[in-house]
Amino acid sequence: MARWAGAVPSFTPVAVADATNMTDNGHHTIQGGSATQRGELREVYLGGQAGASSPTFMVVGRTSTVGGTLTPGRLAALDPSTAALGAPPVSYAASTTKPQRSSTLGILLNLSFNAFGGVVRWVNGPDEIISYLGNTSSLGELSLNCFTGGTPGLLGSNIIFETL
Amino acid sequence: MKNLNSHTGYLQIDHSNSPGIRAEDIPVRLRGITPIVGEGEVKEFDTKNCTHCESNIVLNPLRTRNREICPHCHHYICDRCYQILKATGQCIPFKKIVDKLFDSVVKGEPLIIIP
Repeated sequence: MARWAGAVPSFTPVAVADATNMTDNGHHTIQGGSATQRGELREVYLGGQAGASSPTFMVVGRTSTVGGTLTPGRLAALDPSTAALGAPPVSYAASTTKPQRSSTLGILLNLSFNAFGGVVRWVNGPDEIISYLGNTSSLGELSLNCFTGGTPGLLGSNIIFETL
Repeated sequence: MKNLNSHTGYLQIDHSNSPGIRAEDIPVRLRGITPIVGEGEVKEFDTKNCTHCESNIVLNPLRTRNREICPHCHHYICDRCYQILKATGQCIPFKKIVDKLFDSVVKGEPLIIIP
């Protein structure tokens, strides 16, 4: 169907352990718009903006507790003719109920890099799919967050995904 | 002709203007699955994903032991899912979970997702 881009132009990720509340504005998460909505990741881009060496261990994975009462962030359809969805997915970094990284499904993609001048880009292969399903745990969210360790540094993130 | 090595994903880590990551910086749990890209280096990797859990795996070109393939869905699976497959004999690809969910919706059954 349509491709969407969720972006957080500048934030400092906050490292958290598995099954622990994430910190507002310290992660970037995509949540499905309805109980049956399915979406697939197409691309994840991280651009380091830190002013000093910052080994930053970013991972993309599922959450065992999904965010509740979300504060929607930037989300835009890539194609200007994309029809508005009745229940659009949500790209967010702040919520009342905080998401928690799953201890078993929390690392689907490892995007570790140094946020001092580093750049990471991942693009999915045609049959190599990471998807979300619905909007409840454990499959309803895909979260870009920081694994414990290192020195997380300022970065910007852009996630391109496709709702099906 | 398409084979299991066709259509990989793509990962680029660009540390051409960065101090990069050293092996000793990497948290213990991420060791072995974190590509080490040092100062001034740019590296590109093929990635495959596990059809059962959808984990993305950076293919290690130096790996000598077999990369596990599910004989039922004929796709790469990660080492963890291979252990589960060996123990249970069940192939449960993610697409099957999706099918079950949509079946449940059509039949009006409660939505219970246990990955």
